[in-house]
Amino acid sequence: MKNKVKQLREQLGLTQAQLGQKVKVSRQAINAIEKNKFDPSIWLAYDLANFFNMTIEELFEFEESERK
Amino acid sequence: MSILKHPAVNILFISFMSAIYSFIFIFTAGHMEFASMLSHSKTLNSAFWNGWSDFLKSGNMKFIGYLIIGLTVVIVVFILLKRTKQYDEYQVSILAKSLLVAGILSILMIPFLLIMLLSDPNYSTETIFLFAMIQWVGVLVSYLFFVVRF
Repeated sequence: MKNKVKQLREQLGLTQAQLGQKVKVSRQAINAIEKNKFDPSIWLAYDLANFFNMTIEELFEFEESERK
Repeated sequence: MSILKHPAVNILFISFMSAIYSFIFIFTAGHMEFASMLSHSKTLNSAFWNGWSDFLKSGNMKFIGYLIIGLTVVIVVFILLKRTKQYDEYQVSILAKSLLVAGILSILMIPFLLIMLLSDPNYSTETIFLFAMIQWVGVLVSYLFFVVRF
């Protein structure tokens, strides 16, 4: 699932570890999300979107549902 | 799978498995009934297998048991010292995948070992012990790498 986490994090001048501390996950988790290797839970997606003052849909790109 | 986020579960799992493996390696060392299961004649013209068989007959596998206990103690100490927080959802997903792979490999080993025992029982005990040693010492060394690094 594509997302804008890396772009927004870099705009704020934060490291992956610092963003991880803000949303209470590891640096590895932020790295995996940015590289689209890991889809976060709805709660982590909410925390990330909340941190960037966005909605989940604005932060994560839902091009097509994978539940079909 | 949310139970995996507690570091104590990790400690319990690794300690329990290591206790079983080390018990097998230490208890069977020098045990007469175990020694009788090993290949007595040098059936294979292989220095490696005959050397490994002699190593087991001499009861030296107790040192592998001690190595397993030592590695486990170091891992548990590192987890207790470094892991002050619960694992996050990404780390839990990695742990779950690792458990799944380990479970599948273990299940696949059962028919493989049965075929090996039925087709040629020579050196089968030696092969099983070699596999057990490589498997669990390999798990502990990779575990140690991750607990030291992260």
